[in-house]
Amino acid sequence: MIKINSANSTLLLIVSLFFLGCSYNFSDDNFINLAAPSIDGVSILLDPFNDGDTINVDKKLSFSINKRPNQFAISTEIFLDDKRIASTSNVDSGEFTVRPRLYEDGEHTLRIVHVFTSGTGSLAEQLQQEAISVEKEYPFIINRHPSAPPTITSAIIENGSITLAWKNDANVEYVNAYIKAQFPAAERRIPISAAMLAEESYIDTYTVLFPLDSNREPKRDRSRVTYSIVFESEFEEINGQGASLAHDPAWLDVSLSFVDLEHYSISWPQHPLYANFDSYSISVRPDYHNDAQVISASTQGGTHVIDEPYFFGVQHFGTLFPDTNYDPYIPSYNYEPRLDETTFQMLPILDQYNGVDFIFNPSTLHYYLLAVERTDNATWQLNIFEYGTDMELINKKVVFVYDSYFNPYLFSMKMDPLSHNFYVDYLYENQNSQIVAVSTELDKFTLSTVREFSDQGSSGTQLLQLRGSILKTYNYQTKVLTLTNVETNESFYSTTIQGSIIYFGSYLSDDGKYLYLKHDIEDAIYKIENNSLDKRIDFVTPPFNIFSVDIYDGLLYYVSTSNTIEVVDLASGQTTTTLNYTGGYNNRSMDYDPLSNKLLLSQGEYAYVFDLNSGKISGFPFEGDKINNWPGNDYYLWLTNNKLMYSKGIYVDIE
Amino acid sequence: MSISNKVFKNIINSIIISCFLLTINVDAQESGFNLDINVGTSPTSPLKEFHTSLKEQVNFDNFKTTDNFYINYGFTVGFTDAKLHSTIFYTNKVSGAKSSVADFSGYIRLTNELKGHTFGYKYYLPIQSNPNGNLLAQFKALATFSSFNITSNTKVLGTTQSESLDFKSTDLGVGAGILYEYPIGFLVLRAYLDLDIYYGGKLKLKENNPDGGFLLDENGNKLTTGWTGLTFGLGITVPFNSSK
Repeated sequence: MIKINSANSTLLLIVSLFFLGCSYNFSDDNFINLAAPSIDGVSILLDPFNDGDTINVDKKLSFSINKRPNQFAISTEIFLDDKRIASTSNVDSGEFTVRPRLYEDGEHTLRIVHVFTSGTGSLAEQLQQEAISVEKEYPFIINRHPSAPPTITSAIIENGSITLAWKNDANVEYVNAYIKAQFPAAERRIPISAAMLAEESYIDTYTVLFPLDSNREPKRDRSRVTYSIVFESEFEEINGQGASLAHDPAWLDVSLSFVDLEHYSISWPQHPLYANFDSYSISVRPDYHNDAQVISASTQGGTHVIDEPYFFGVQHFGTLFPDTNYDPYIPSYNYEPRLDETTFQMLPILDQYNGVDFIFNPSTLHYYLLAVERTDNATWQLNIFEYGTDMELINKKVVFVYDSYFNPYLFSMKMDPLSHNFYVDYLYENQNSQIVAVSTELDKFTLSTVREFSDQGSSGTQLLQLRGSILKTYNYQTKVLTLTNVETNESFYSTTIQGSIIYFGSYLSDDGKYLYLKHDIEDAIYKIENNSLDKRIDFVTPPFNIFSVDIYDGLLYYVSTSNTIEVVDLASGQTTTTLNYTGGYNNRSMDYDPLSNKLLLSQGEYAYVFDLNSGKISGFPFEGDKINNWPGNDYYLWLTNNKLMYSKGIYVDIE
Repeated sequence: MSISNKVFKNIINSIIISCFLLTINVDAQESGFNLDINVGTSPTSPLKEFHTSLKEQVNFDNFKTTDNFYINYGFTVGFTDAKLHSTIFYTNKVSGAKSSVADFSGYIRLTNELKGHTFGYKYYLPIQSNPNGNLLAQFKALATFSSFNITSNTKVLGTTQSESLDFKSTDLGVGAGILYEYPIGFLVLRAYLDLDIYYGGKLKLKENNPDGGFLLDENGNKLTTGWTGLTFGLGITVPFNSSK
């Protein structure tokens, strides 16, 4: 049986429960098992940058943070030596600039601190209370000087311009970069961008290398250039190693060519830098008395015919001036053109030997020069130089060796029109101080003596001329002229020359068949025949002087006082040709070239060539005064075998 | 485990101990002291939608509703007078709703707890009586004094934030059901199933509020407790007459 007090105890328990009451038993929280915040896999990139880099000039750096897609940027702060220099919000990348001028040279540290959402999806993150951060330090060096510029490895001329090359370094730093063209006393700078620098080459279409005369300002010198790359910063500029180019005189190899007696031409080569300027002015003149010929010359090279006769013997000169309106500092340059050796043929030995006669021999087809030559013993010797058809020296015949104390003078050489042997006349002083006159005939092939006559001048200074069978003797003191037939050994004519010393004289033709006498009592031409003289012409209006006369193969050639050149058949006495001539009478010489049928007249420093076939007369200047260059004070012109020889050492073929 | 939960378990333990220690045959419908535990449903409770609407206002990932007035439970004590076929009783019952999310960083909770203190009267009509037990119909008159609590509780990264509001209401209702009594020893084991229908009182703030302070839903309607529903009870009767 149950006791009532048990029920009461139960009742008491229930009442107690009432007062305690009940509460609802809620379910457990909906717990989501998430990964804890972590920076695993998060990285910071800084570009362009490597630890330990040296920063010389203001450098822009880019940073970026790689995270999981559900992690979002909150802020990024960039510190340099714990001083914040930049910050961003809500972005994963950005840029900032390190400015070296704000810091001292030395080691520094960049630190990037990036704060971002955890990406866990937790309540804290949803409440934006769960941020994590990463940071990274970047040690570097500040050196407030630019990097060393690349070396110009080559500067070459191609396609008319100057091409530069270098090897680029992508990590160089600078504020400004230039290509510097350093001239001797000036420079030019060409700004270049990083892109240009990366191309590792540059074509300079501006620079023109040009020589400079010594009297010009050095700053205008463009004769050489050194290219280098210059890096410039706020504090310093550094010049890289360069490559040089210099003007080559061959670039301005201006030459003169012989066209004909009335024209010559000037030629210039293609300028290597033809793409950098279009043209340049070329002037040329023989002296300051002549107007300069000015040519606009293409830098591609060319030739220009000048409508003037060439001035033989004179070194022509002129100026070259590049037409570059973009570099006005380039001055004109004085130059001297060379002679083109294909049209102006050279025989410079002529000038050295002081030749007086130059003859083409149709029998040997060789050329012969009579000239004196200084020997190693400081004496003079009279030589005949024999040249081949190409003017190569074949033989040298020593005709006579002078004593050392006596200078040679009055020597000449003629060719017999019939035998083609040579007649050489000369004087010398012997050890007894006697003037000895010699006239000798030399064999055309061997140049050995065929006949020789001499006179020791017992009765005064004499001149001997052997021509054919006739020996002419003239005594300078007694003025007695004597003709002797050396074959019969008979002196058949003798006369005393009378009158002015300037205009008198006599001329025995090269074949010994005609004698021209000109003195106060007569002015006539005689034919020598059978040891007697037969007058063929008695001049009413005589030639101006004896040198304006030549006789060849029975024809007389002379300049009349009526401004004509006359050709007279001495056999008939009839004038066969008359040519107008305005060159004056004072001709130093008149020579007939039977091979070309041309006459050469020279007077002073002007000469004429008469083409008797066409009647054409061409005049041209030449330098005649040799100026105390003993022996011989004059330069000579010779016309033989249609070659115009000039004793200064050049000759031309004329048509 | 909360304190209320422990108490509830003690009650169950006491009943079970009594059932096994005391074995006696009793007649049907004896006067005595009743002790029941009960579980009920309130499927039409407007507080379900109310909690749902509250939950939807909280915008956090994985914020999930785990309780929403699915059941109520509690205990009942009463005194039965067999002659009068009546019982007066007191019932304590609770229900609740909860939405929450928690992770390593903390938690966010939104809880609604509804408590009711019911004082009632039952009248019994015998339906069938035999030695194995009595089947009775019972009719109830109910007066429930309810309290309703809304609490939001947040703790993230060690920072705690909590807000709470308390409402109250008085609910009147009637109920009808069947009761089965089965004597075991001197105790009578009882079980019943009732349908309680309430005319719910409006929930209003416990604190005096000049504006009324009623609990409103999204549409501005005043909310009631919604106790209406089935209630299943299981308990014992300790007869007053200790001898037979």
